[in-house]
Amino acid sequence: MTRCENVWVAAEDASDYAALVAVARDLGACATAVWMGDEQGLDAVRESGAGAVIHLAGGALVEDGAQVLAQLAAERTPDALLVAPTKRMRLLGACVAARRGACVMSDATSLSVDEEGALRAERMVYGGGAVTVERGVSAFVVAVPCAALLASKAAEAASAPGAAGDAGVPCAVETFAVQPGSSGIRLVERRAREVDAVNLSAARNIVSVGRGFAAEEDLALAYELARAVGAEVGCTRPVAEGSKWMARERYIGVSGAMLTPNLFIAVGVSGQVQHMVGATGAKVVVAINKDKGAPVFKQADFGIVGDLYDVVPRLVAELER
Amino acid sequence: MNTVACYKVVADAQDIVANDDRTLRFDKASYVLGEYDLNAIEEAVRVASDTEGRAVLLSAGDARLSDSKLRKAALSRGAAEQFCVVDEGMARADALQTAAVLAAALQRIGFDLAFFGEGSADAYGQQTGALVGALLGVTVVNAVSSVRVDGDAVVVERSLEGEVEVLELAAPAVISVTSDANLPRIPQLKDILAAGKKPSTTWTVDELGAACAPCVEVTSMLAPQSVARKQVMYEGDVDEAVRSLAADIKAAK
Repeated sequence: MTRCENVWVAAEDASDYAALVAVARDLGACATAVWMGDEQGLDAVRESGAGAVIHLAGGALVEDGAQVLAQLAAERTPDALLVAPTKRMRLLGACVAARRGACVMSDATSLSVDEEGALRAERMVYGGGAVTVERGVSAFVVAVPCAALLASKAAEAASAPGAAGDAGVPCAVETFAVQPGSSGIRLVERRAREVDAVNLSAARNIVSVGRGFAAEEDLALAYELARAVGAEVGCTRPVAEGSKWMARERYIGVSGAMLTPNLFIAVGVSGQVQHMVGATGAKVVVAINKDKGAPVFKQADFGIVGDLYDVVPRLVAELER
Repeated sequence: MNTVACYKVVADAQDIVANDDRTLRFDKASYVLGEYDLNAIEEAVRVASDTEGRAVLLSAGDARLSDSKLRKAALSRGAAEQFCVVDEGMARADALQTAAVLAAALQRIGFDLAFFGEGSADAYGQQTGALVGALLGVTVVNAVSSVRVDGDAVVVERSLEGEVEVLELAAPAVISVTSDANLPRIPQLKDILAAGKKPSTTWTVDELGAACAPCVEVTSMLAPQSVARKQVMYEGDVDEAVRSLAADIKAAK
């Protein structure tokens, strides 16, 4: 890459465009919005601050649009495509990338343009155990800004409405037809998924549960502590994925939530980097673990070496005194 | 249906040591099958067995792939045969270079369904399956939490952020499965012994004619900036420790 001036952005949700356009603008690029949804969403996307909209219409599924989008990218040679960090957009981004001889810079915690004009992304690898800097060297790249980066851009845009340039002014739309079914995928059924509505990234205090809990019913202890502190409850990945004691939405760590609470209380958590990386932004970290040598204590401000089954009830009583 | 499961051999993240200057040491690291790839292997084996097909394995990597322990670790999970693309350059390959190699190998092997995990255990870019499917020009889908084959019809459930889709796929297809798709088996000793007798084929990137130019380069890899914590530990008398900790919590919340 030797320039990053013309950037396309794509999302499933019209409300994600303002933040994606802001990311493109920070790169010094002019943003073109690619919209594959309905007419109502189109109006919102037109007012997101993008310079133009490419509307891919008529596809039964977002996936059907990948081929047309790749074809348009071949003709119009944008320097980059930024997509929102959702499953569907990751697939779309990768399909366009492959057809354009590129790959995806996934989950960028920051994006910039280096002195040679190449897109530069920072991201975490090895489950948070390492941070890499990547740069695009092909003529075109796809990047996925991480959810936290988009959320911070959305907050900036909301606090300074004038800063988003042409936001609020509808821009021009070009519409291209998509052949339904061209992806080889046929939609049989779509149903709402039961999603745990917890928003850990907005929580002021967090109690995080690890494998130190022996049984699912013992989690009541963690909920009692959370109630005494005024905290939300989150967990490590094995608790969410292995034991399935909690919903995925409650799992904290590199591919889960990244948090910035006042207080993070790790209970029965060993302290693996893959989990604790989610607590890097916490003001104060507290650990309760019976193993004195557990790595969590090195990453905590205050800790008790003790059996959580003994310590937590006493702590709750003391906090409620 | 004939299935292929793709997997990656990765350094175990727990064994990576951070030096004081944030550089990383991999010399103590053991190498393992990517944990998300185990779901791909399990699903490929299950679907093949349910449909009287054959499941095989495919991986691309450096010489470590030829390690007999790692080969057995992969083949002890039910697949009949293994194909490896071994090339020193693979350790530095970006996702598209890897995908080009896997796509070329898949073309040679032939398949009805190719399975990937949701992401590699090291980079977790969540893209290789999608890149491979797009390069091959076949049906490709990610975030699949269940697969059902009924005659020629392949029906999958896909767990997205707020909804579940039921999709019918035209084969051949490339499918990335989530860790909800199945519970990977724990191979028994007899499986590991039997794995040593299964056929294994090794190709180079040149033999596949699959070399392509890099599109992303990694310019640095360092340990995350650590946050200095107070590391005050209360031990001994539990009541006293609890009182101290409660005071700290009240001050912080």
